[in-house]
Amino acid sequence: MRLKIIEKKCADCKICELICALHHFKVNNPKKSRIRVQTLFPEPGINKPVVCRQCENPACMEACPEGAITIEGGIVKLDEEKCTGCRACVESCPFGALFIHPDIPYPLKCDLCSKGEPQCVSWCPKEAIVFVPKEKIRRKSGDRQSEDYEGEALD
Amino acid sequence: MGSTLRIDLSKNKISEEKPEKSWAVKYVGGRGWGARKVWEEVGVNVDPLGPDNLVFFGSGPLTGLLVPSAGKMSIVSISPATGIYADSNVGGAFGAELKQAGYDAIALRGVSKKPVYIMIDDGDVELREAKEYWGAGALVTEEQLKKDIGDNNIHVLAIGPAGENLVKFACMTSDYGRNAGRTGMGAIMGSKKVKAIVVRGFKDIPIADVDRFMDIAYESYRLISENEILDIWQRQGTLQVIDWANERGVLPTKNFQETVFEQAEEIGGDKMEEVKTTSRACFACPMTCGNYCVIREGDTKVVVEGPEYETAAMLGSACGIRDLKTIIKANNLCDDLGIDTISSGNLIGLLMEAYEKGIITKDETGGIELKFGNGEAVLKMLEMIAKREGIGGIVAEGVKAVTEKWKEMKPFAMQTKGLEQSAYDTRASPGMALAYATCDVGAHHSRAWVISKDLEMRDKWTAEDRAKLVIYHQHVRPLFDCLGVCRLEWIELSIDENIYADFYTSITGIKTTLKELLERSEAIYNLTRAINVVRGISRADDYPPERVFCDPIPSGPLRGRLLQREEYDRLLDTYYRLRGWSDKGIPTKETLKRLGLKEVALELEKSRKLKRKYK
Repeated sequence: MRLKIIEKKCADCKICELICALHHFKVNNPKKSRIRVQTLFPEPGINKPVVCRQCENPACMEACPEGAITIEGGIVKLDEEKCTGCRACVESCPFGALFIHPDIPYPLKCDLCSKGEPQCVSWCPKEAIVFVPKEKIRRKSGDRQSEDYEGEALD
Repeated sequence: MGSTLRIDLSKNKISEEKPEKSWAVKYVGGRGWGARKVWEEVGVNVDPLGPDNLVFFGSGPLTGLLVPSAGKMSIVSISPATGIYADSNVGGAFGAELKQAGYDAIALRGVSKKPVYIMIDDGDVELREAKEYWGAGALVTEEQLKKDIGDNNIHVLAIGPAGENLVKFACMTSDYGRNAGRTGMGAIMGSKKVKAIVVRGFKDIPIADVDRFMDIAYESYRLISENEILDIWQRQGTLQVIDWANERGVLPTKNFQETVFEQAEEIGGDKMEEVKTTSRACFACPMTCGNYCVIREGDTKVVVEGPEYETAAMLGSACGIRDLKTIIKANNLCDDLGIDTISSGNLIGLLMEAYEKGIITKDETGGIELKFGNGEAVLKMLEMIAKREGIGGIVAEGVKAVTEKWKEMKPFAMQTKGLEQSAYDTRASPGMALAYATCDVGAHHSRAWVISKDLEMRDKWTAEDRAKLVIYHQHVRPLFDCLGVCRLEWIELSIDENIYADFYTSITGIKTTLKELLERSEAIYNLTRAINVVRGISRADDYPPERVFCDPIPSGPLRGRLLQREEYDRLLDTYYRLRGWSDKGIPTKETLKRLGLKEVALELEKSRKLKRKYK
């Protein structure tokens, strides 16, 4: 299972960012979240959330010199104790889905919180984030960033 | 309360100010803080576009938090259009980011020698040269600043050419189309030579009791998600109001001559959904009532956040424009040029009526066939206003100047206190007429919106019923502007107002109730009245324009209706009495004392005595 973003539905309200930081750190600070929304205006005129895709062969795991990133039960996990904050993972991620905050020594990465009910999914008012089986998501041919989700036209 | 960032642009001096807690509590936030600063610091005879005017950007205690639509910030000053108290409110996320940067407010004074932009980077503040942005559109400026600074996630509040050219209804734009639209705040920025304010912040916004806060947040978002009306708000936003206003016969059409627009469907929410690409939300807002609309014409593509109801009505039906495409183009032009869509539409509609009546000629319009329904003429006029070309130079001075130049326009110039009226016809609603006429910034719907109830109750309602509801609205609606949240969740989705007091308590740790907050809001309303009274506002300024007393509604469900002057006189008397103001509309000493504004009462008395002495 992993998170799938339906860009078209996102309105950039930042509730996902707020609830993520409140859940993990008990602070009100969207800059401490593990999901981020950007507005792309005027081209193409959409709101684009970015979050970890829990890759099968994660570039971040490959890049980490400390072995701090592992896969456990399909979730790409970051060991905050082992992490030295070198940011190799941040630079390696092709989706830009690991984030830095000046006060936090390790990168912020989605951990699919709340045991199968990630907070951002529950709180999103637009159903723009869904939690779905990985095998139902297909990469659109020729476009690394875009995906399709079986049974539903997404993008 | 956090710090206020103070910048004296004449001296290039940047400082911080930490207000006393009791002061911060008494004036709540946003508009309340700004009103108090204006009362204390701005002279009665100030030139609104001179160095001594103050412009205050105030977030509220709820801004930036996980509270439904907590992205609001108020901009407060003395308006160049009206010469009296003014505030304008902006959504998006600028206010939230400002708090994350460590500031609750910004206070600007003075005039910079050269164009600058203010960079607020997580506590570091600097004035940077803005020569290369001066002259550019507000949307273009935001895009370019994001590129130049190398961060797409910063927030920018910018003016366009209209602000630079001191157009009296110039606005400030942020987040590609969220505007502090009314009362000419963009002109004040232009006069101070500030092209933009850029903000980026990484700080936590403190919460006194996180567990309690989370319970309230969860409950309020749950209630909203279960509301049946949420769907239409997410799909169409305020544009759905076009149908409502048209069906009831209160949609301003051809400069408020008519109240039903035959082509309303063509400019309404259903039509908009055909060109909508995605929803746009303000900070933490589940209603997501903003919309990106895209239209294409040949090689050009226009992307706009909007149009909102007010824009579609004022630049649409009020100008006889019957296609959404033209409205979208006009909306985009207004955002980039940096002018208020409401005032622009109101004034162009006024000129169109005058043109059709022969009061202004084709020579004066520079060859433009300024007739209702001419979309090209609207677009051309917007450019001419922003750039002060030809007749645009006069229109740029606002409705007061226009009716001074062409006195024949006065009876049908829809305005109060020099502010162009927004998009509701009041001839069948004395309550809404009173709401516009007693709004502290001029004819705007932000303070009280009682038209729906008034139309429903009609003759069942007494003057007292009407005045009471207007007064309640004038306290509860601006309270949202003080708190830094949007009022739509309360009005449209019926969220209990008490929730906001609970939020306030859990966030600040200062126990309060809705009743207390409403009392403070009443005090603020009296304070803004006092600011206006010392600047000469009195009973005569609390009247609607002539048209509502003279021209009956010509067609539609409310055909034949108009206001009776005697009835309005009585309504205003009732309103003053219930407020504790004199029959001239001046807050009495007792009222001000009751509201904890003793020193304001003294000042008011002094200023009136002085006036008598020198008369």
